[in-house]
Amino acid sequence: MKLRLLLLVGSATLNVAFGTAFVLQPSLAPPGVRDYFQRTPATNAPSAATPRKAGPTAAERDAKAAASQAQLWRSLATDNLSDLVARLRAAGFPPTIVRGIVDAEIERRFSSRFKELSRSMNETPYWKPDPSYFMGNSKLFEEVNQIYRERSRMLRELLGQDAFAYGTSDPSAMQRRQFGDLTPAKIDLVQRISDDYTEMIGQVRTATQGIMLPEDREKIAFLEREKRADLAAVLSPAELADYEMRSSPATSRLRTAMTVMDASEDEFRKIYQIQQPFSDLLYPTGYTVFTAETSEKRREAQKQISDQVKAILGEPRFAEYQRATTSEFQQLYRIGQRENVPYDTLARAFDSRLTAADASQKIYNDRSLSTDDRRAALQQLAQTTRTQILSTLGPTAGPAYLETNRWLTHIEQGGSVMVQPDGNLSYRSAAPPRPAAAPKQ
Amino acid sequence: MKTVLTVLVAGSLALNLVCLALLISGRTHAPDTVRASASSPPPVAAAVTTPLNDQVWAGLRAGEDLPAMVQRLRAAGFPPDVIRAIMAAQLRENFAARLKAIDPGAESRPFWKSTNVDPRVQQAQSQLYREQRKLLRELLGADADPQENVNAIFQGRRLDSVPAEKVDDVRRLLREHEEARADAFSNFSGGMLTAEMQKKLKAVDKNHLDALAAVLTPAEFEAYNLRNSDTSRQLRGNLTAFNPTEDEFRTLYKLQAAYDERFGQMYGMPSPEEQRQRSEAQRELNEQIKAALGPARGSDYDRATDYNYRQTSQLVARLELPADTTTKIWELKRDVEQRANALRRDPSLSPEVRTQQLAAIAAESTAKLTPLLGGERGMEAFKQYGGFWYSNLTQRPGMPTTTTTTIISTPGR
Repeated sequence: MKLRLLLLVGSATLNVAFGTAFVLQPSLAPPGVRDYFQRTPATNAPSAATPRKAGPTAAERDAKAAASQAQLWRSLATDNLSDLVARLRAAGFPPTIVRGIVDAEIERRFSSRFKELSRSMNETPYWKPDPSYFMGNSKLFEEVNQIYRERSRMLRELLGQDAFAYGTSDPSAMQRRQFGDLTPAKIDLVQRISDDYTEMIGQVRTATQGIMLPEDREKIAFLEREKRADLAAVLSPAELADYEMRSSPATSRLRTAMTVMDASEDEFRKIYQIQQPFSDLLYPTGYTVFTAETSEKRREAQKQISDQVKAILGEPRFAEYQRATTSEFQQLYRIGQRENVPYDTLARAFDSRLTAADASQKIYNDRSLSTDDRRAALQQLAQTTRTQILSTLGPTAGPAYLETNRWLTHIEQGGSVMVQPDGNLSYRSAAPPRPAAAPKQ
Repeated sequence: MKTVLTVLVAGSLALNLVCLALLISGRTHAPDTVRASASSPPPVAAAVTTPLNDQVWAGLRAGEDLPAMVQRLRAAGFPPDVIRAIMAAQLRENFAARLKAIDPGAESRPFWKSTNVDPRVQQAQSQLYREQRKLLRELLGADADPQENVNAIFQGRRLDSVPAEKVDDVRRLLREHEEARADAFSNFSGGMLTAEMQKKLKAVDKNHLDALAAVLTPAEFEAYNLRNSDTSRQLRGNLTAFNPTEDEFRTLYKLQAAYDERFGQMYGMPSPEEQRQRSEAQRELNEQIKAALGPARGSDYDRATDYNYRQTSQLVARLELPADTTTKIWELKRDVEQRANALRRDPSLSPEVRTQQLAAIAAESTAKLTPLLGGERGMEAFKQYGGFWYSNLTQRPGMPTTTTTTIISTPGR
């Protein structure tokens, strides 16, 4: 009798524990019966919309409305994000707000991983190399990037096209820019393929510890080929070519230049076709160390590109292209926009560096001049050029440009400047040239 | 009585079994793809307590009164991070028309052109973004900013030395500093910084440090700077192959901080006079460092802070070669460079003889380096990582020698 009583008490206690656990955390139960535990007495009570036999008082109605209002988030929230999206949409939340809420919920799910990354950073003694030091440990960055990719994938899976609903910008316009005229289904496939390979390539890069060996390059090249094959399986040849052009590092580097020279689509496509074969050499991804040998190859590639672009654009338009691809002119262009200086005026001021560079070379190499005379001549050249630029650009844009350019100061300090085929400058310092007896340069 | 008790026990035990079965079934039930791909979220009480209809959002929004909307969201039990997401999205929507008016062609801009590069447009856009952030902060107070900020990881920022009760203040100051810097940059056209910009940035940085010093005690401020200042970051980067003790790091930090304080960050090209002062001060700093470290560690420091040495050390680790390989290569480098420089300076040599003798030194170096680096594979990598001195041996006469490398980063994200 006593044993039975004890058994009953123990068993009943266990049942209460089970019941409490299911009520507090319905996800412990199988989906089929989960809803049963999710129903609270408040839901089972007649809702505000249900007529009652005797009408409630105003105070009762207010209290009930307040109580109901206070439960609103609990009505919407669920740990199943697909259900959350459905509930938010059913409750009339617009796509931008749904995206914001779902993004916040996803972020919360990743917070423990972010915390873990922060912890590993905080626990490194401050006198030891930073875990975020790019050459020493890119693992940290790869992990952060991995979280971003997973988050963005979840957002796309949950929201579909609405994943792009940010602000009131037209998501289809954004997608067209990135993917061309692909259907949403194809865009999704392309993004999945791209994410997968970015992840695999990221892992290869992380394992290099900042030192890229030939086998790493082979692995990356292999993955790039595989990625292309996977993309080719879901896209037509024309779609693939278009997608590659839009996502190529060459295009991303060319965009500012194309904006500055106001290139037509036809011009861009031709320039892209010329640049693309050199893309790996000129626009490598990841951390890249340039040796003297690769620098030489890059110079040679730039020269070939310049020759070909000149041939297709013609001399005047090529001059505009060359200016536009130079970071110094891009900067001057921005100053010009800010100060309302016409393009032709900017081009005239910028081209004065060509004249000045040639003159600086002549003075620098003139062995009939003494060191002092050479320096004085270079200073005079810098002064004349300065005055010319100021008078061309005017009192606001002129000083802004002069203050930030380095070549004129270099000439002023007794050095010489040479314009390279790609429009960039090379400098020779103020050291005097070797005497005539020295080996020829 | 006995029978009743037996029935009750049997019933209760049966219920135990049912509950257990439910629990096991619930645990083994495969989660959906979304849940499976992330860590478990904090449990959310998913009770459906309020009838939902398509007017819920309209009821929450109810007009343009944003503070009232925040109140309604709070009253409705929305958590702070969700309210922040909603209000941020709402503000973006409210500002959209103004944003569009600044750059009307943004959406129709062709794919081969960049987003607007006009500084006036960029300035107006950043002004609007600042206005949005300010409004969000006015609406939400402390809830406007997330506790964890992924930028802190990217920037290598750490607040582990800051007392818990001061963390919010420090975070606020960091945020204000970022915004003040963004303000200073809002009129920037790219390229080198003007003197005026440099002055502005220096003032912004100084204000920030003063504000931090006012919040933290001197010891806390020092601990913070040892972790987060530009000086400490650069120092850690330079010392990756030196492996300093804590005491050594603090000593070097103190000396380097005094130098940085005097010259500040170099934003543009220094004048010849400033260059002279800097290099003089750098020479003094090196002497002070060596005096502080003593002869043995001073010599380690010299070697370990050389870029070529650091790269070689990384390469040796990557190739899993014995750790003393780096030192052996370093000693070889010293010997070879001494001999090569003597040849280059010798006026009695004709260019042909000089080239020939340099080529002989290069061949000798190849023969010694190849086995040290584990064969051709290591040699190839060495040319790129740490072996510039070796490549320079075979440089054509008259070509500039390569002592530095260009490292570019274009993460393909």
